[in-house]
This record gives sequence, C-alpha cells and structure tokens, in this order.
Amino acid sequence: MTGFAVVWGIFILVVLLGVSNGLENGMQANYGNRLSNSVDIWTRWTDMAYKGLPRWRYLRFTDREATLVQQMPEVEYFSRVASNYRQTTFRTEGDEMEIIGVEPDFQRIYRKQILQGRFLDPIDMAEHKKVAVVDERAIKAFSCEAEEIVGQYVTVGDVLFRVVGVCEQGEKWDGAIVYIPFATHQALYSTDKKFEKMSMTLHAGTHDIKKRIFSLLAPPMQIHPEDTEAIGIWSQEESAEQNQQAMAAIRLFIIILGLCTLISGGVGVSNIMLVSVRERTRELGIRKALGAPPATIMQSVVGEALAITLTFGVIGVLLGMGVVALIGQLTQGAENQILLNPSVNLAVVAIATTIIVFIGVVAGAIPALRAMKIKPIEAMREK
Amino acid sequence: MLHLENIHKTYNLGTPNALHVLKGISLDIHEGEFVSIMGASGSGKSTLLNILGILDNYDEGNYYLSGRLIKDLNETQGARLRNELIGFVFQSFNLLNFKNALENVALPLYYKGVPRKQRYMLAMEQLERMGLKDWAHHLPNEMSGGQKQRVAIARAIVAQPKVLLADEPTGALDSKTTVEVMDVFRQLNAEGITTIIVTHEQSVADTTQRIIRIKDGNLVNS
Repeated sequence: MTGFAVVWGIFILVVLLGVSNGLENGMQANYGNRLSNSVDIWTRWTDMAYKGLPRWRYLRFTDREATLVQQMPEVEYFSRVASNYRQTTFRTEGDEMEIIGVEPDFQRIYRKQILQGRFLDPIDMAEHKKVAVVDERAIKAFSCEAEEIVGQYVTVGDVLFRVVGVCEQGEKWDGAIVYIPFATHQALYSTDKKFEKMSMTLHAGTHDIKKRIFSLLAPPMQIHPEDTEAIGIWSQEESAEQNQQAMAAIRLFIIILGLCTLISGGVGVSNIMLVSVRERTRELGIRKALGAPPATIMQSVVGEALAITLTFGVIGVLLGMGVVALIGQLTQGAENQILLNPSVNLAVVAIATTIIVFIGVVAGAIPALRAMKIKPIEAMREK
Repeated sequence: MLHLENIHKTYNLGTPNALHVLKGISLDIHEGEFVSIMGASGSGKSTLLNILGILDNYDEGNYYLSGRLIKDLNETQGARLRNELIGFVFQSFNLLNFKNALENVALPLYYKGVPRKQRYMLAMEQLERMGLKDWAHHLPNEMSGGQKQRVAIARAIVAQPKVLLADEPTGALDSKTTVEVMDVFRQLNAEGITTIIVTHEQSVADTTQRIIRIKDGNLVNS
C-alpha cells in the first residue's frame, strides 16, 4: 500500500516528464529550421470599408509595397514569393507540383540546404532565365537521382526549365516544390505583376516588427488603420516566444504536479514507518535490553524506510519509462506529430528518486528518533 | 560485585504527582551469590531491578557494578554495559516471535559484534545445555512456556554476563516447570554466575541463598 504511493509518485513524475519532453520535441520539429528572426507577410481580405472602398476586398502586393518593406532598416534578407501549381515532369515521370517564384536571398531566409548544383542567382533573376531548383520530394516524384537531373530539362506546365540545383524538401506539410526565379514566375504566371507573399529576415535585436510593417503598408494599400487582420504577419521570434512561454508554463505545471505526487509518496512512507515503529516497539525494546545501541535501532528503522522507497521508487521509474516508451511507439508515424520522441532525462529521474528516498529517510528518521527513546522496560510491557 | 549506596529514585520529580519509589537503598551482592528480591507490588522491587539492570537511572546515591560506577551513562554506554555485564530473563519471555530459537539466543552476540558463524555455534551450545537442541529452528510460538523460558535463559547467558537478572521468571509457568526453571538457575549459579531473581513467590525465594525484602522503598532486615 505504501509502496504503491511511492511507485505512483515516481511513475506519474516520469510519465509527465516524458510527455512534456515529447511535446517540446514536437514543437521544435514544427518550427523547421527557419531562422529565429524571420518574418512572413501575406495578403488577406479586408474587413472594413475605407475611403469609399467596400468592406471586403482581396488584397495583393505590388512592387511598391515590396520596395517599402525591403527598404526598412531592420530588414536583412528579402524575397518576394509567388506560388502556383503546375504539372511538372522529367522524362516521363512527374506530378502536380508547387511552382514557387523566389528571389536568390530566399535560400538564406529559409536556410535551404543545396544538395546538388546551386540555388537561383541574381543573373537568373535579371535575365528571367527559365531555370529551376527542385526539392527532394520532386526528385522522388521524378523517380530519378539528384545527380542525374542537374543540367537536364523538366517540363513545367508546357514550358521547359533547366534544372540548376536540388535542395532539401520543405516543411512536413509541403508537397513537391520547384523553385524558379521570381521574375520568371511573374512573367509567366502573373501578368498584373501582383503577388501575395513576402519573406524576410531581420537584423538581430529587432522586436515588435508587426505594428511597424502594418502601419507602413496600410496607407498605400488603402487599408483601414484598425483593420490589422488584412495583412497576415508571422514572426518566428514572436511565435517562438509564445511557444516558449507555453512550454515554460507546462513545465512549471508538471514540476508542481510532480512535487505533489512526490510529497504524497513521502507522506505514505512516513505513515507506514510510524505504524511500523509502533508495531515494533516491543521488539525494539527487547533489542535495547539485550544491548542494541541506539544507533543500531536508528539504522534498522531508517534502513527499512530506505529499502521501501528505493525498491518501489525503482519499480515506479521502470513502469514510467515503459509507459513513456509505449506512448512514443503509439504516437510514432502520426500525421501531424504533437509528441515526438518522448523521453525521460535520466538525471531528472535520478534527482526525483533521490528526493523521494530523502523523504523516505526523513520520514523514517522521525519515528526512529522516537524508537530510540523507548524505555526497554515500558516497551516490553506493551503487548 | 554489585554495590549500592543510598539509592533514591523518584518518578515525576518536581511535579505534584512525584512518586518517591526508592528511599535510600544500600545493598551489597557478592560474586557468585544466588539472591532473590521479594516485595509486594508497588514496593519498588521492579524499579530496583531496572536500576540494577541499567535499564533505568537513579536520582541519588552510587551504584557500582563489577567495580564500575554506573551513573549518568548515555544510551549507547548503557547498551554496551548491558550487553557485556548483564543477562536478562523476563516474566513474559520477550522472545522475538519472527525469529527462531537459535536466532533469538544469538541476538546478544550480534550486538557484541561476534561473527555470524561463531554466533550460531555459541547459541547452539547454550540451547544444547538447556536440552533444546532439537527445537533450535522452531519459532517461539511453537514452544511451551517452559521451553520459551529456557530459550530466554540461554539468550541471557550466551554472552557470558557477570550477572543474571530475572524478573518474575516463573510468573507465567505452572508449578512443575517452575521447579525445572529454578533448577536451571541454581545450576547456572553453581557454575559461578551471580544470579538475582525478583519474585513474589515464597517457594521460589526459598530456593535461593539469600532473600532481600523490600517494602515501601526501603529494605527490610530479615
């Protein structure tokens, strides 16, 4: 029964720690490898009438807005982004793929690893070259190797593009992607020269960029100053901050919960030790009469507490780790993983076990001190 | 062997319910003596026994045991002297019920620091001496009262104490086993161990060499 309290305390703690660890890993995985100072801006619908314009208007960026944003002193790397979908094939194999028009700095913003060849460069951009960088998923769809496709031509829609490089795949929710120069994309697919997204990174030490970007873009785009939802602005830093705050809250919650279960385990142990010493009063009295030094009595009682907490503590740890491993197995391969590799920090487990053993020793020491004071004669009279 | 000078003991000293139990006991018991202490309940004989056995302390006077002044000892010193000098036999046997006869007898040797093998060898010798060799591996509750008391006596003498203290050792026994147990004590005494028996039975006291009577905290000259 007491053992159960200890097992339960440690078990809950281990499982909680494991799950929170997995939660953290999952969140981290969802970030991808974007730089912590990157920002995306995209257009939305307006929701307020302004200067005689109707309430609902679909917005799109023009080069005027792009220039405004690019010239902000905070901006480091900048890229306009345009995207659509086209059937893309290499030789005979292919699929419908996302065709994204980007500027050369896009690679730096998204930290795209180049696996083969190169990324798009300023000359491609300036000369509207029909060149493309395909990602790993596209390679898979083409059923070819990265090495053989560089220098070859792929058909995008009905236009031939020369592949100059292969880069790593996108986020886990992305499909196959073909990157082409933004200028080429615009020339081919958007004759009105409008686009819907801009990506950038900011210089270090830039905070609170959202408001500044909105107030910069609202007047030229004729957005009501309070219609802040008309432009989508996502900042890695802010969302990371929010995530970190959420994780900190979860962690604190788990620590408090863990401490509560540990304490309840400790109370359980101290309870059983009190009962045990009471039951052993007569025995301890006899031992004292026969010449057991007080230290021996103390050792025997504290030793019992230690044995109980250690034994059941280890059982709790093993059970908890088993359950954490099981959760890991069950959540593996899920579409959008919230938990990723839930695992337990062995050091934390060791600390928790030490704490509960410590509680056990203290819990044993109190009745042990009482046991030491027992007068053998009185103890032996107890039946 | 035992020398008491003007021993006083008061319970609840300094409170309104102070109880003056021993009122200046002076007593000498020599090595090899076989003595009984008699008195009515409440006379102070149990308190005297506790002081003799270093299970309780006293307020005034001096108590020398085997030439050592037993005064103001801490628990650890008391425990060691009990282990070395005194063997106890109690009315209610006070054996550990979850340990067999052999383990019970070996217990004082454990506290003396005797190695395990030797411990059980010596304990077995004592059980043999008590005619309980075949019962060595039985638990106390499988034995009769007489057998239990003989196990307790074996335990009391296994560490070769100077003094054997018995508190109503026959109180829980019938008359036949009482005679047997007293024979054991007499035999042990004949082998040289100083033996002190607290009893209220005249027949038991009569088997000893000297009777010390105690009444209302004072010795009565007999």
